[in-house]
Amino acid sequence: MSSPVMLTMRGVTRVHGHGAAQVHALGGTDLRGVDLDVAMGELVAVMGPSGSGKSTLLHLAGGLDSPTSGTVRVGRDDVGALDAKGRARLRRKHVGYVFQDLNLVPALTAMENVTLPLELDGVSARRARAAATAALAEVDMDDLADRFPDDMSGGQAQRVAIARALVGPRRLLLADEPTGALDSVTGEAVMRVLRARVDAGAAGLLVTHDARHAAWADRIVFLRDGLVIDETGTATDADTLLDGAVTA
Amino acid sequence: MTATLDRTTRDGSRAAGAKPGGPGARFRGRWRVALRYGARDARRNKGRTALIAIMVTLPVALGSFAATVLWSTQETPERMAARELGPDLVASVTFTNLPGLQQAPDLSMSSQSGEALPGPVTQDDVAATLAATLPAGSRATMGLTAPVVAYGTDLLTYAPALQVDLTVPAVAAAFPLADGALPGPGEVALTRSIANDLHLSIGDPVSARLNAGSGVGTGTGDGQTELGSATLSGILAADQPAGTSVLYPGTGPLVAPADLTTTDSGRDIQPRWFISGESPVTWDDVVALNESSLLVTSRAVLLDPPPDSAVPLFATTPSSSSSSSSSSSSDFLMTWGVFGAVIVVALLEAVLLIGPAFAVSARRSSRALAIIAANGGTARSLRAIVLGTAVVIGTFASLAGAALAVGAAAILMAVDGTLRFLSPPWPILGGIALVGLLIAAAGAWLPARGASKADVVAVLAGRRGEVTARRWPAVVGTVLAVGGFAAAIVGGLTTQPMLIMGGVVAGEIGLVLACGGIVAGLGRLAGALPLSWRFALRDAARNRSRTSPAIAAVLVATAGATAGLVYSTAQSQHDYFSQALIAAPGVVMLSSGSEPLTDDGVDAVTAIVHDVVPRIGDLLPVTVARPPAEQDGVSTYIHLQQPEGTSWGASGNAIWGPIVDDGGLVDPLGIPDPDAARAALAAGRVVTLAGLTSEDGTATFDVETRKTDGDDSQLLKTTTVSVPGAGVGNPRGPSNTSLPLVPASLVDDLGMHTELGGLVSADAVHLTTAEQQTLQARLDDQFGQDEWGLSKVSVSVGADLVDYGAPDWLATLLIAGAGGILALAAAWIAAALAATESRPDLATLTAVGATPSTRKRIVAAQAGTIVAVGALVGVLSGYPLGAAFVLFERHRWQAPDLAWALTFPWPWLLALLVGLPLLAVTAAWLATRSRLVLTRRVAE
Repeated sequence: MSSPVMLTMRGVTRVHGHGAAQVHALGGTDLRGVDLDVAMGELVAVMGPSGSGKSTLLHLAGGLDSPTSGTVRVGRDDVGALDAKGRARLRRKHVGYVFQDLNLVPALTAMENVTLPLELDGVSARRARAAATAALAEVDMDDLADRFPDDMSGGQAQRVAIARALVGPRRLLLADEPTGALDSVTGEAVMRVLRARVDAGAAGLLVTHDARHAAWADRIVFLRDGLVIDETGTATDADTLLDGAVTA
Repeated sequence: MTATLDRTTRDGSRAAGAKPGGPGARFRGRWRVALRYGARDARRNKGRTALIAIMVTLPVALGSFAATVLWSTQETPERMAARELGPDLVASVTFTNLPGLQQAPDLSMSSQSGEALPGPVTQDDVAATLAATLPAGSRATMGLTAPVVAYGTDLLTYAPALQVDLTVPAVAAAFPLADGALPGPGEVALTRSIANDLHLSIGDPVSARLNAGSGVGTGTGDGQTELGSATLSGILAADQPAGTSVLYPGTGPLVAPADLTTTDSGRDIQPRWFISGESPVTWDDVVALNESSLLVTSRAVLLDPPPDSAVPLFATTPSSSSSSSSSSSSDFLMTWGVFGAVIVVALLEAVLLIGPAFAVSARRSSRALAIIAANGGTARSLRAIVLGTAVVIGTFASLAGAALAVGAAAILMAVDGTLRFLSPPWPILGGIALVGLLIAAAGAWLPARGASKADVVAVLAGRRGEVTARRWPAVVGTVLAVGGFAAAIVGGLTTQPMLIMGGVVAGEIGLVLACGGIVAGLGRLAGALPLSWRFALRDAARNRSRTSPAIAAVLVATAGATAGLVYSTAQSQHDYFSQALIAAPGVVMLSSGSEPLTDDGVDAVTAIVHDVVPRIGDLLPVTVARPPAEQDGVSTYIHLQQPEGTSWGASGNAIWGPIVDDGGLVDPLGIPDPDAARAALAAGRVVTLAGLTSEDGTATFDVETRKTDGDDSQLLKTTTVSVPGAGVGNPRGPSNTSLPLVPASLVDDLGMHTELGGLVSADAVHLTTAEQQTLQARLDDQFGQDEWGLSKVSVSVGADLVDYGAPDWLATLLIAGAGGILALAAAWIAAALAATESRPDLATLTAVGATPSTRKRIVAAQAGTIVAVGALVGVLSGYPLGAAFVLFERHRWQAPDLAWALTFPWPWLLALLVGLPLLAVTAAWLATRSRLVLTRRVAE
């Protein structure tokens, strides 16, 4: 891994709730002592059964949630040491999310959705539009910049979401089942775009349960019950691991 | 697709080309996004936008309309000049008969140094003074003003008239017309209100006579005051010079008095000079004319007033003293306090109705807001985005409200003619529009705050991000509510209006704050209820951000309605008890005033009455008891002792008693409990209103002996005379001003003698207004008027006793109706929101076997819960508020007014408590489809 590391997680544990509620959450979305690095130009896929902690991992990586223990670093920033405003600033400047669906703000056009993090960061409207135009062009969506999300297909909306995730200075793309609501052809196209953006220099962390999409990744990390059970695997190992043949 | 991210440094630090800004730039960026989002959100949710817009537009439009009309009718120097002088006149001058006259430039005050001029002063003297004082080239056109009685076919009205040469263009221009033409010879013009009062149209004949005691200066020269008939040529616009309502041309019937010092400005014909010319009338000219007792309205002085130092009047009287209020401070505070409290509570209601609508919006947008948070939006950004919708809707609705108000005022001016000047107070309208914007923003504040604190991860995962409610608002609210209502009651008992109003506002705000706690408490009690009500209460408790404002809106509406109903019914009861009858309904009473009727007088009155009202039948003589006549300046006054707080006595045109009767007048005079009254009189007892006799039935009269010397009256001694008495009717009222009735056998015991006080018809006749006016006019012609202008023989007719509650039925219905509509609107909004949000839960219920009607029952229960809780707390809290106002009225004056008493308008309160929730449940049941649309658990 010669490229600089964009995301570093060390001994990350996340326990939800207290007392009885904590017991209830175990085996659900908790994480236990997770270590993970994602470098610039690298796409890492996270796989695991439902409730293995995939989404929690993504939320911690983007500062939407805070670890109970351990360290999460994005670039030079220690996410756990930042307050709510600091984490919001981190997301505006460095981290972009792509969710399964309903990624875009329905009241804003594609262009306005992409300029959103920049404008919230105080970038002038003109500069924000210029950056967004470039980002949309990179996902072949510049022709539909003035469309509202309701007037786009699912694949088009996901492309816009990818453009927004990497607009301006943002270089860490966190994707949570980005193709989950798409048909296979459209899903493949979106993965192609995602891969291209990572190849262009971004760092990508992709949560998926579909081995075909995980195959686009450079590396696959397998989670089960909040533990990393394998991080050396490839897509070919996926079915075996997901079936539970390999245990911690 | 293979382009590199060449704008990026490899370690992920800032890219070129998109420089972030400082705090100011972030603020601008945040609000740019917020307003853009708000505009789109408003367009996408048209129903909700319309609802919020109405809530904002209505108060803004009402406030702006009131401000525009008030401002447009406000007196200003420019308007005074335009009204009094039209476009061309330079001044107008009146003779005041006041020596040493000094006036303020705007005529707001004046002073004098003596009672009257020695006289005589003729119009030629004044004309010579004007010619000598006014600038060269000025022309003085003399007009004449007089109070007149104008007649239509069968109606008359009192109005100020002006006669002036309308062939002078500058003078004619000062009398703008609404319709028709200015009067020529044999014609007259009237204002629209006078023409409407007399039911006259252009071309109709109009008669008039002077409404003056002296009758000087009529065209007939024989002392008669008839001004003859003229044809109506035109309708005058509102606001004419000198308040003119009847305009005659220079050839009209008024004749100037020979000596101006012998006339009374309020009652006689007075000259008025209208000055035209090229040169303005300066302040020096005005001061010089003041020295000749001439009061001047000068355009140049009004528009460019002199400094105070140049005004002789201000050397002795500060200019600020010109503004004085005749209102007592208590009345002033009460009026403005009530006005302020009503506005505050109305705005609170608007905010509370808007709140749930924004709560709906914020909840539906929770996914979008979570996406924005995931993209770096801070809590402040999310608050701004929810508030942005409020700012956009509030701005447009406020501007629309202000525009509607100005348009309505313009229409009023064009159609009605009441407003002559339209002058919208733009800064004030801007302020009112800002209040509208703040109403919208305040309604959105709590939902915005909730949205900014929502759990983003939970929302992104498809769960609700409801924030746990805090306990302190309920505690603070309860304390505030209890303290506020206690303060209001104390304010009512101690007649402190501001304490009442402050208590009302604090109490209502306290209840609003306490709503969340009330809902939470009810949620804990839901366990024993049937499924639909248990679900509704628990749902309300879990989702307080939407249920609390809706319940608060119902609460404020029903509390306001309850307070209004309590006050309204107490006032209605007070009005009923305060009625004072002079005779039985329809019975005609002819009162001789202070002088007794002679036998000739009786014959004359009887002849006139039978001539005007042939159907009237017999007239009964009414004998009254009088104390001994004044001797050597010593007078005797006898009056019945009354407990403090009761009022009794003759009023208006009633016969001044005590009336002497042995039972024959009981029915015509409308005495309550007539059989008991007749029996008492037959037994030699004084009949009076119940409560005015002692427990053993004794009526006590005070006999005062006073020595009168000019205006001074000195009490020499007071003795009491007790006689057997009997009380009739209700001690609280209604009273009868013909009481007490004294049997003839007791007159001597009281040391009184009898004389004839008037006549009364034996039967009810029910005169028409025209008959009564004609009869009065004939009696005035026969007997004349006294030195105060009052008829020596006056006609009055016994009025109907108004039934309890009847006069305020419409007002009561309006109060209850408005409260009910507001409450149902709040319930509707909240129930619709609850139904939308409960879909996943209902789907679950359906999956486990709930019947299709479950949804209907649950939605109905949700609406019922909101209205029932709000109405219960509203009625309970509204009653003390209404009571505070009633207590204030009761203790307003030194002696308590017993006719003001607390009432329990049970039918109306039950309608609010039971009828309103039933209505809400029924409406929700009928409006809800039983078919369930299955939905997934995503908060978008």
